[in-house]
Amino acid sequence: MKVLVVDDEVDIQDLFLQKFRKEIRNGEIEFSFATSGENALVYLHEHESEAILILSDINMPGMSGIELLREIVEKNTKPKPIVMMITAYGDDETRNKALSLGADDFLNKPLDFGDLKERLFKR
Amino acid sequence: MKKLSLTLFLTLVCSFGFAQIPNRDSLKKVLQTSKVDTIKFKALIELSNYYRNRYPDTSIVYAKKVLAIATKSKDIRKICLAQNLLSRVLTYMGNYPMALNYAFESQKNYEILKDTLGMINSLSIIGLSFKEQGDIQNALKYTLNAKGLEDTYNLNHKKRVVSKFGFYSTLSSIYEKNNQLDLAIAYADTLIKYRRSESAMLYILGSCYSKKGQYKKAMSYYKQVIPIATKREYNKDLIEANTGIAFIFKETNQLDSAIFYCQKALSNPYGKLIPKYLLEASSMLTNIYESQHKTDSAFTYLKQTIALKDTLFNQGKTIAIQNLIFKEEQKKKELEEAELKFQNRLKIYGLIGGLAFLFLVALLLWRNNKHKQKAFNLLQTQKKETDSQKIKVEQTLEKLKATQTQLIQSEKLASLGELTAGIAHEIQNPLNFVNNFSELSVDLARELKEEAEKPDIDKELIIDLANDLSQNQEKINHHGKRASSIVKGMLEHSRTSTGEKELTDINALADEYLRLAYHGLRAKDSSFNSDFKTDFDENLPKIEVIPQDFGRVLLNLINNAFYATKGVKNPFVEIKTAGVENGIIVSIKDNGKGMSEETKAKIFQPFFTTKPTGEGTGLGLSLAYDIVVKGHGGTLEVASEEGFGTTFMIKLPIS
Repeated sequence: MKVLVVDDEVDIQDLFLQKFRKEIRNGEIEFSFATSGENALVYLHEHESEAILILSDINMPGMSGIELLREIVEKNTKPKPIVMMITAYGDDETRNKALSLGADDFLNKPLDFGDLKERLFKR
Repeated sequence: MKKLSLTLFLTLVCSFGFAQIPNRDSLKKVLQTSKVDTIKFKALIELSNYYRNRYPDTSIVYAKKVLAIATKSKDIRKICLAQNLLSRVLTYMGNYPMALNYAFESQKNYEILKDTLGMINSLSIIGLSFKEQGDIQNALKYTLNAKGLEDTYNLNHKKRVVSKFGFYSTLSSIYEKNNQLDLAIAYADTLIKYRRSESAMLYILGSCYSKKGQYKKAMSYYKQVIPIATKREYNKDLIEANTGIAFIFKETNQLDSAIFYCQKALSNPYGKLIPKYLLEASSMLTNIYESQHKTDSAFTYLKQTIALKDTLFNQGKTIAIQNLIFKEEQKKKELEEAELKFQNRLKIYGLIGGLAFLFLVALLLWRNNKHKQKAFNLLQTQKKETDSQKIKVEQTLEKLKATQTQLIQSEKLASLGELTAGIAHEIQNPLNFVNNFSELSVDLARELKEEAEKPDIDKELIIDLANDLSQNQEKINHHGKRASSIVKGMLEHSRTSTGEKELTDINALADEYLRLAYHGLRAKDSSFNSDFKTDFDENLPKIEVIPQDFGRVLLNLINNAFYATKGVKNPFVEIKTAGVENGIIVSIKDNGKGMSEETKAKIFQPFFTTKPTGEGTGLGLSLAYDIVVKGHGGTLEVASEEGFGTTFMIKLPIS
C-alpha cells in the first residue's frame, strides 16, 4: 500500500516511519511525504497510474488540504486515490465540507495511530 | 415787490421833489374821489412834496395826513416814509428838533427792517437837517454815513442813482457851507448833469464861486436860479439867490443894488415860513445900513435879525436839539450795549454750548470707558471661566489619555483574546509531538530491550532503534522548546512595548501571526473557515522593527482580513512579502466584502469600526497606522473594492 502523507509539519514523517516500522519492514506499507499541497500534486503527477492513499492535513500554508482535495477530485485520475483528511479542528462543518468534496475519511489530530492503522488496512 | 416800488417812488419824490411837476388839482381830485388808501397815500405824499418848497405850511398839513394814514395802517415802512417827509418839511421850516426826531425814528426803523435804501434816505435827511442848523460836523457825519452805506451795499443802478441824488445835494451844500468849495462844486456839477434845472444846485454853485471871489460867474449862476425858482415857486431858492446877488453887490461896493436884492429877498411873501433863509439878508442889510450910518434902518433890521435868530436858535430849541443828540447818542450807546450784551450772550451761549459739548463728550467717554470696563470685567470673568475650563479640559485630557492607554491595553488584551485559541492550537501541535515521540520512545525502549534479550541479536535493528530513540529525545526537546517559545511570544505580545527595535525576520513573524490569527478565529467560532496562503520572499532581508508592535499590526490586519471573508464564497486570505529598494513590502489580501469609499476614508480614525457593538474597539487600524507610520517611518495603504476584497500594504524602510 502506497501512502502519501501531506503535512507541513516535517516531524510527522518520523512519527509515521517509527509507528509503521514493522509494516514498512514487512513491505506492507510504503510512505511518501509532501510538506505542502503543491508538492503533493507534483508527487501525484509523477505517480499518476499508481494506487495511492493520501493522508492530508487541512491547514497548511500555501495550498490547503481542501484545495488539494478539490484538485485531486477535479483531476479525476484513475485509479481514483483514496483521500483521508486529518485536522486539528474536527468540527462538523469542516468534516462535512471535506466529505462532500470527495474525501474518503476524516481523522482528528492528535492522531491515534492504532485507529489509523485499522482504517488504513481496512482499505 | 409792491413795497419796493413804493419805496423807490417815494424816495425819488422825497429826495428831490418832483422831476416832473404833477398837476396839483388832479392830485387833489384823486384825493377826494379815490377810496383806495394806497392811492390816497401816494397822492398825499406828492402834494406834501409839491408844497414843501412853495408853501411849507400846506406841505406839513399833507405830511401829517400821510403820517396819520401810515400810523393807522401800522405799516412801519409807510410810517418811516411819513416821518422822513415830515422831517424834510420841518427842516425846511427851521424846526430842527422835530425834524431830527422824525428822521432819527425813521432811521432806527429802517435799520430794524434792514432797508438799506430807506436808511440812506433817513441818514441823508438827518445830515441835511444838521446842515441847515449850521452843525456841519454832524451834517457831514450822517451824510457820509449815507454815502458809506450806498458804497457798501450792492444797490442796483436805479436805486444807486436815486440815493445819490439824496445825499449828493446835501453833501454839496455842506461842503459849500464848510468852505470846501471844490468838493461842493463837484457834487453840484454832478447833480446838474442829471437834472440841469435844479435851482438849489445852481444856487450852491453861485455861492461857491462867490466865496471864491469869482463874482461874475457867481452872478451868472444866481441869475439862473431866479427864473427857475420863480416858476416853481421855490421860495427858499429865490430868497437865497437874491441874498447871494445882494452879497456880490455888497462886496463890489454897489450898496444900493445890494440893499435892493436884500429887500427883494426879505419881501418874499412866504419868507416868514422859512425864517432861516431871511436871516442872511436881514443881517446884511443891518451891516450895510450901519456902514452908511443909517441908524434907524440898521436898528430895524437888527431887530428883525435878532427876532429871526431867536425864532431859529432860541435856548429852548438848542437844548431840545442837544437833548435829542444826547438821546440819540444814548440810544446808540444802548444799542451798542445791547449789541455787546448780545455778543456776550452769544459768547455765554457759545461757552455753555461748548461746555455742554464737552460734557457730552465727557459723558460719551465716560460711557465708553464704562463699557470698556464692563467688557474688560466680562473678559476677566470669561478668562477666569476659560482658565477653569482649561484646567478642566486638561484634567479631561489627562483622563482621556489614561483612558486611551487603558483602551490600547484593552485592544491588546482583545487581540490577545483572539490569539488565545490560536496559541492553544499552536501549543497543542508541539505538545502532540512531545506526547507522540515520548510514547514512541517508550515503545522503542521496550523493543530495544526485547531485541537485546533475543539470542540472535539484530544489530542493525538495535542501532536503528537506538538512533530513533535518540532522535526522538531531540524531537521531544525541540517541540518542548517550541511550545515554550509560543508561550514566550504570547507573553511578549501582551507586554508593553519596550520601544526597542530588533532585527526581525518578517516572514517568520507574519507566518506566526497568520497561524495564530487563523487558529484563534477557528477556536472562537467553529463555523469560521477560510483558506489562506503565504507568498514569502525567501530573500527578504531582516529589518529593524519593534517585534511586539509590528506583530500587533500584522495580527490586526490578518484578523480583519479573515473577518472580512466571513460569508463570502471560497473565503481566502493571502500574505505576501517582497523586498524592494531600501525596504520591504508586506501585503495582506482578502477576497472579502470590500469597503465603500466612505468607509475607506474613515478606517484609520480612532474608534471607527464596522463591527457590531462589543466586537471591536475601533482602535486596531488606528494603532496599526500609528505603529507603521509614526513608529517605523513606513506607510500603510489600503486598496479596496466593494464585492471584490481588500488589500492592505505595509511598506517599511530598511533603516
